[in-house]
This record gives sequence, structure tokens and C-alpha cells, in this order.
Amino acid sequence: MKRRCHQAAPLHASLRLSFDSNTTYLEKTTMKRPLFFGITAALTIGWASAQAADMSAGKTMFADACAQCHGPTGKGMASFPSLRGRDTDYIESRLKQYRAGERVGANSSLMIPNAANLSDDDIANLAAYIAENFD
Amino acid sequence: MSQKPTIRPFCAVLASAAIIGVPATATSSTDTPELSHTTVLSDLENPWDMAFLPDGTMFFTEKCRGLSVRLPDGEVNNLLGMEGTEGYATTTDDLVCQGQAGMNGVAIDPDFDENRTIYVYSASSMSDPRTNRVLRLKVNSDVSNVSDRTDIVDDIAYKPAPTDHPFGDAGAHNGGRIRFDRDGRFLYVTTGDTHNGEVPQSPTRLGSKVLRIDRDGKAAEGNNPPEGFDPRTFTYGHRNVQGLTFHPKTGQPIVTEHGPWHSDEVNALVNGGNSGWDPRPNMAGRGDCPDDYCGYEPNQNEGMDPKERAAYMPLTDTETYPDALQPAWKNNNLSQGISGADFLTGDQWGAWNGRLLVGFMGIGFGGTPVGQRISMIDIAEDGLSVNDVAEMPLPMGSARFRSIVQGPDGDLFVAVDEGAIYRITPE
Ligand code: HEC
Repeated sequence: MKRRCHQAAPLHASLRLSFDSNTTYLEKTTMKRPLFFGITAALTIGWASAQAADMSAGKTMFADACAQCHGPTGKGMASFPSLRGRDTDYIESRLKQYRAGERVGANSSLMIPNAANLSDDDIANLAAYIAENFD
Repeated sequence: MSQKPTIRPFCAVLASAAIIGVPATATSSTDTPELSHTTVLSDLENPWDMAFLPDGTMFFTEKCRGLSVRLPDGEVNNLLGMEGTEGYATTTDDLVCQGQAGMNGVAIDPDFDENRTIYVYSASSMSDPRTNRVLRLKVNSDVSNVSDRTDIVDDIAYKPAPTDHPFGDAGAHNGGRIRFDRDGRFLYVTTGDTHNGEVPQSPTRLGSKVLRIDRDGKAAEGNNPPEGFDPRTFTYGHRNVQGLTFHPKTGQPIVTEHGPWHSDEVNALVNGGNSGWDPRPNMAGRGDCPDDYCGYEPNQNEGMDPKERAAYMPLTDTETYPDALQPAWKNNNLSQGISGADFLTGDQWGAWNGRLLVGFMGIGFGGTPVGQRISMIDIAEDGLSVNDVAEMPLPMGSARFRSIVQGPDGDLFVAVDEGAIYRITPE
């Protein structure tokens, strides 16, 4: 089962898109983590010495780990805030706050786990991608 | 009400999306269809619900914009706009949105041909404090405007101010699905607990209830709630019901109920039943809770084993309420944003004919997998258990599945928070 028709297919798309029973579904979703971090790690190492943010790593990571709440174009959905019109500094500092476990708004507990494992490079890449593309 | 006739012709262009086939590599059953999809509408803002006429005309709501209609030729007319909107034939400033509240469900009168009547559920500032209302509206002959608004229910609970809870903004736990039963006799209305500890078991406050009413908003004949309850009550003690449909064979109403960091439920309703949600403080072994609502206890901000949560703050408390309605399914004790529901019917769906479809928007709190998907549930005819649960192989990928409605020709329509309505066709 392959997804053939999605513009920004997240890494785990083909894993999630099974129509197995729920139990299998859970196994498959948890697989997402090692795969996701494996790839991120590879990208991060590749850019370790680079100064500029890696937009394409930011894009991949956003599609994989952020879009399901903030929307594919960062415009926000339901209780999840829009990320549009934010500059790089703002996004970076917010992500660092969440990474440190700081509560910002009423729903910080939903965001904190998503920032907990981000590296400084991840944050720089995400912030650059979001600020550049969602204005 | 200001009158401004307008249309949104650009949506017709957007609607002409390509059909993309996706091979459904069937697992166990041989008789499963392959699915393809088209994008019916995109660039919507939080589309929340839709309702169809037999010719394919689709009324739909957007939570902070209002009511629109897509005609069979693809043209979109904006009918009833909420506070602050532009471009609607009629704009009504008392219809407001905040948090999870706004314009939610839409239903078409079964006698639409004769009475041209539709119904919507919306938050309104006409009362102070705000309430949710069910509006009855007449659609004009060329389906470009609505008139004759009558609020047939004006006292549904609404959360007026933020509280110290997850999703704690005003407007939370707002219910909002409305559907006519399969006989076309009564309108069912789902409501939420509004993050208020007292509401679920309250006999008089219209939250956490499924109401059953006639077209004038009067209690349906035969409603059987306990003595002292508002007679419009069909069932009570729910947390937040956003999915509502009726069993294709038995006609029994079936709802989905958002779980409290654990256990989303599918419940088949029995007239007068208590769904067993009681988040009051100092109840069932619990002490004080933030803002007198224990709905996310014992620990509202950190991950924890859902089973432990379920033991402490059950969605269906059978110890306190031994006669409570038993869920048919509890999503493996997980809370993943269960929302719209409908039955798939028709031979073109092969082995899936008769399955209950349930949409998940996904949450991803505290180690629970996000879970965005549409589940296909083979629910027992008595509504008390499930025989099988499988995941629908979706040609357009996963999203926040808010509303699921089978259209008049048997295709499936799904609205996602991302801002689109898709049509899924079996081959
Ligand atoms: C489970 C849903 C969820 C996921 C996944 C998620 N977020 Fe969030 N995010 C939220 C919520 C909820 C808030 C608001 C939190 C609050 O109230 O403090 C938020 C807030 C933010 C903010 C601050 C917005 C502002 O205006 O201050 C930024 C920036 C952000 N998220 C970025 C991200 C990035 C980048 C990712 C991916 C690594 C991500 N989020 C993944 C739910 C999520």
C-alpha cells in the first residue's frame, strides 16, 4: 500500500496508511520514531559544520512532526495555533521554551513533548523553514 | 440581517481536481474495493459538517465563517455568515466562534422538497452568557440565500470563559452534530460538557446530552429521561459528542464520544440512558480539581498509562452508575480525537458494506500515537460490541477527519480541519 498522490508525503505516510487492525496500526506508528530520528540525525550530521539553516531538512521535519497539528501550510487548525507571520527569532525562542518544558499558553502540554527532542540545529532549520514559507 | 447576494465562483475551479487511483492491496477479504478520491472543495476554513440533497447539492459549514452550499455544477453560494465575515448573502452578527465552538452541525429537513428547511447548530451571543442554538432556516428557490430564521433551541450550554485545562479556551467541549433519524421524524442534537463538572449529570442544563426534538424544538414524543430532566433529553452523561449516525438496519442512534486523555468511545444509545460521565470534584474517590472539573485527572499535563487514567476518571463510570450505557468500543483505551461517524452502505463497498466509519482527528498527547485515520468498525447489531475494526486505506492520506457523510449516490464525503472536503469513490 503506497500513497501516490500527496504533495508533501511525510516520511511515515506509507507506514500509517495501512488498513490493518488497530493493534498492528499501533506497532506501525511507533516504528515512526526510530526511522524519523535516524533520518534527521543523518541530515543533521551532514550539516553540522554549516552555518545556514537547512531549509529542506526543516521542510521534511515539519511535514513529518508538526503539520498534523499546525496544518500543512502552518495556518493552524482547531485548537492548534497558526504559525504564519512569525519571524525566525520568535519561532526559535518559542521552540526553546517548549523544549525546556516551559508553559506558554493553555495548551503547552500538547506542544512540549513535540519540542523535547529537538536539537539546536533542528530548531534553526524548522524556524527558518516556517518563517520563510508561511507568511 | 444585512442582505448581500454573492457567490464564490473560484471554488468551482478548485473543485475540478484530478481523480487519482490508489490500489487497495486487500489483506484478508477478497471483496474490498479500490478507492480513488477527488477534492470537492479546498481552501476552506475549518469545515465542520455537510448535508446533501438527493441531487448532490451539498450544504456545508465552516466553524468561523458560516453556512454555504455547493451546487451540483460546482458553484458555491455563501448563505449565512457569522460575525466579522464578508461575502455572505446574509450576515448575522450574533453567530460567533471561539475555540471549539462556532458554526458546527448542519442537517436538511427530510421534507425539504416541500418546506425548503435546513437546520444548523451555532454558538450565539444573543443570550448573555452565550449559548449554543439550533437555527431553523428557509432556503430560497435558487439556493442563494436563507431567511426566516427561528431558533428552535436557544439554551444549549456553552463554555463562556477559559479555565485551567487542556484545550481550556472558552467554547470548549461544544458538541454540535445534528442529524435526523432514519424515519425522518426527529432531530438529534449532540452537546458537550463545556468543561463544567456539574453539567453532565445535571437534569436541567443542556450540555452533555443528546437531545431529541421535533422540527419546532419541542421534546420528541416518547423521550424517556429520568424524572425531573429536561424533556428534550434523549440521553445524558456524555463528555463531548461529535459523531452521530443511525444503524442502517435497526435505526439505533450511535455516537462517538471524545475520551479524557484515554478511551474514545462508540456508544449505541438507548432512550433515557446515562452515558456515565461525571467529572465533579469530590466524587468517586477524587478530591478537588482545577476549576471544579476533574475531566483530565489525575494528571492533566503529563503522559500516563491510559488504563491507570481510566481507572481513576472513567468515561463510563459503572461503579457510580451501574446502569450506564456500555460502550461498544473504546479505541483500545486511547484518546485520539474521535469525531464524525457514518455507516457505509451499498454493494459497491463490497465487504465494507454496513461498516460504521469513524474519523479520528489525532491528538498525540503523552505518548499516545497521534492516530489520524478513518476506522471501519463492524459493530454488532445490538450495538454492544464490535466484531472487527480495520483502517480504511485512504487515497488522499491522513488528516484531521472532522466529518464523515455518505453522499446521496453512495460515495463518501469527508471534511478535514486542514480545509478540504474530499469525495471517496469505490471502484
Ligand atoms: C500535538 C499537536 C502539536 C504538534 C505535533 C506540534 N505542535 Fe506546536 N503547538 C501545539 C499547541 C497546542 C501549541 C500552543 C501551545 C500553548 O498553548 O502554549 C503549539 C505552539 C507552537 C508554537 C508557538 C506558536 C506561537 O504563536 O507562539 C510554535 C512555534 C510551534 N508550536 C511549532 C511547532 C513545531 C515546529 C512543531 C514540529 C516539531 C510542532 N509545533 C508540533 C501543538 C502541536
